[in-house]
Amino acid sequence: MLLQSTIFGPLFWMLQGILLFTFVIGLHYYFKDKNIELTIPKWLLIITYWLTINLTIAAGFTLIGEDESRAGIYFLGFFSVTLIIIGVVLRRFILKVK
Amino acid sequence: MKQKISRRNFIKWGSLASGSVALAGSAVAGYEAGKDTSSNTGWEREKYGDGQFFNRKPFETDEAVHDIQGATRRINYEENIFNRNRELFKLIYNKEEEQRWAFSDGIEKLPEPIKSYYQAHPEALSEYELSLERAKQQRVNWKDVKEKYILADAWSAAHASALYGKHGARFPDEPTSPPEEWDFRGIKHQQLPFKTPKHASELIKKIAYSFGATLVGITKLNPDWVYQGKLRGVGKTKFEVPKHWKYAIVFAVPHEWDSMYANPTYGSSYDAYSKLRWISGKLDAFIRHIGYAARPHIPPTSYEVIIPPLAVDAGLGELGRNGIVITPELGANTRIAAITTNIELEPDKPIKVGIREFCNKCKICADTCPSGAISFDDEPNQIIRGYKRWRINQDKCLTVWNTVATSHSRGCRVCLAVCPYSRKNNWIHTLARELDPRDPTGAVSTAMLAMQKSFFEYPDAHEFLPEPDGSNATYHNGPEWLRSEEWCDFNNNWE
Ligand code: SF4
Ligand code: SF4
Repeated sequence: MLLQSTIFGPLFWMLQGILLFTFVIGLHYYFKDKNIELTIPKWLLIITYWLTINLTIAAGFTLIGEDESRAGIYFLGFFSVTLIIIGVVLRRFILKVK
Repeated sequence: MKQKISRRNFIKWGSLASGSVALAGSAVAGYEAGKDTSSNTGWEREKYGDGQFFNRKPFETDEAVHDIQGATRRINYEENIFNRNRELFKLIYNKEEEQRWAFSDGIEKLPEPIKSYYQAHPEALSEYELSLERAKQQRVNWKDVKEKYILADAWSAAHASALYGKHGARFPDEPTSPPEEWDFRGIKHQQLPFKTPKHASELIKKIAYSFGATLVGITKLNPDWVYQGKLRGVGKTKFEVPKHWKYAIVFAVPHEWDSMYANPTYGSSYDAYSKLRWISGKLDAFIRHIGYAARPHIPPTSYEVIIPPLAVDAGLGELGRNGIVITPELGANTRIAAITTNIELEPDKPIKVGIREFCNKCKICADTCPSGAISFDDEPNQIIRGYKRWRINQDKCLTVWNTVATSHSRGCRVCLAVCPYSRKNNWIHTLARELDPRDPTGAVSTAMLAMQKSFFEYPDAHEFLPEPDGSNATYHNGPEWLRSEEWCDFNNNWE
């Protein structure tokens, strides 16, 4: 098990942290290049949305890891659709609301 | 300038791409959390007692947890299915021909107390006749499935050897004298003077954890939970509850999780029961060593108390629709034993974590039970010895034990496996465990149940049976270490 490994476990979580950090930097440049100003509430919404996607994926794969593949796939299917809809609404909000 | 822009773009798009890699990382982390065997509650690599991770304090209750309806009474010896079936079995297969009894002889020719029992419950007698027929067929069927399930059978037999040791290797010993003698045997030291009953309870719990218990609770012994009609060490007799059975230390362990999920065929009842024997025997010895009386009560063979209501009183969990005590940590994968003692202990309080209310809506165990033994009633509505609860038709249940693809009658346990509470201690399930009891609206449990019913897969109840009624289905696939095809050079004609 990768995450139980004495060496790879901590390295994995460090890498996840770095990836999240660089992702936020990427977002910053992306919105700057599009001339969209991100206020603190907007940043909070984006980060919350992003974490929710991560948790949804993690939850689906936890079920798959437990040998509940059907439940995992249905879970991912159901919540992906929900998250896509929320994502579209969020995008509109971020672009429209000053 | 051009180079500057592309570097910026590189950083921007590279950083955004790292978000996708992080998503893949979340998938890996989730998958590993699901696979992680140290999330199998009761099998974690943790310090003693950490398996009992659910904080019961906020859910302790002073309200009655048993719904009393009129006069209550103790359970009689013959009301226990194993006792009455044992009595019948001895009569049917008696070596002395003139003492033999056959179903054709009718109820009137049965000796008391089982005669009166079957007069009141004639359907139980016909169910036992059917059950014996099924047992014969089970032995025939076993020849066809033996290769496939031989490892599971051997594994179960190995665990059972601790219960049915035929060479004097049984631990702890069975009582051979009245409780007033037996429970005090070998006490050499003065009673250890505990600072307070609270200290005594805390110490006993720590010791029980150190012997391997996952959950421990303590309660005063309600005499209604003591059997009437037979006492180990004395024989068949009416008896008063011994005065020194003041408190019960109640402790639980889970079955091995992966084989439990592959019930009815790959799992065993004996893995947990043999563990409970070891814990009970050691705790019994410890208690007597510090000067107090002790008597272990260990299902399925050696007990004078009904364990589930005792465990409810001790705050371990709530009684589920399937007749099993559902605990917040182990769900229905909870096997329990107890020790009665005269140590002055501080009892725990019962808890209310919403399991009863969940059971009202859920009914998954009733839907998947291959015998139809579990009630579909919305609310408990049967009065049993003065207590209102859901009734399990034990006679029908036993018939399925004698039917499924095992070498002999050694249980079914599908209702343990399918229960939504029987989930490992990983982040998603523990989040649900913690959220649901704190939600006064019931929305969490409704959402969980909706997901449980629409996302998860359950074989149809009859599929657990052999052909022609079913296909010897198991709830999950057997773990690879119990699948013969992974290890043995068989023709594999079952694939
Ligand atoms: S053990 Fe099997 S037959 Fe008995 S109640 Fe549970 S699911 Fe039904
Ligand atoms: S399966 Fe559902 S109804 Fe049955 S005991 Fe578990 S929670 Fe209760």
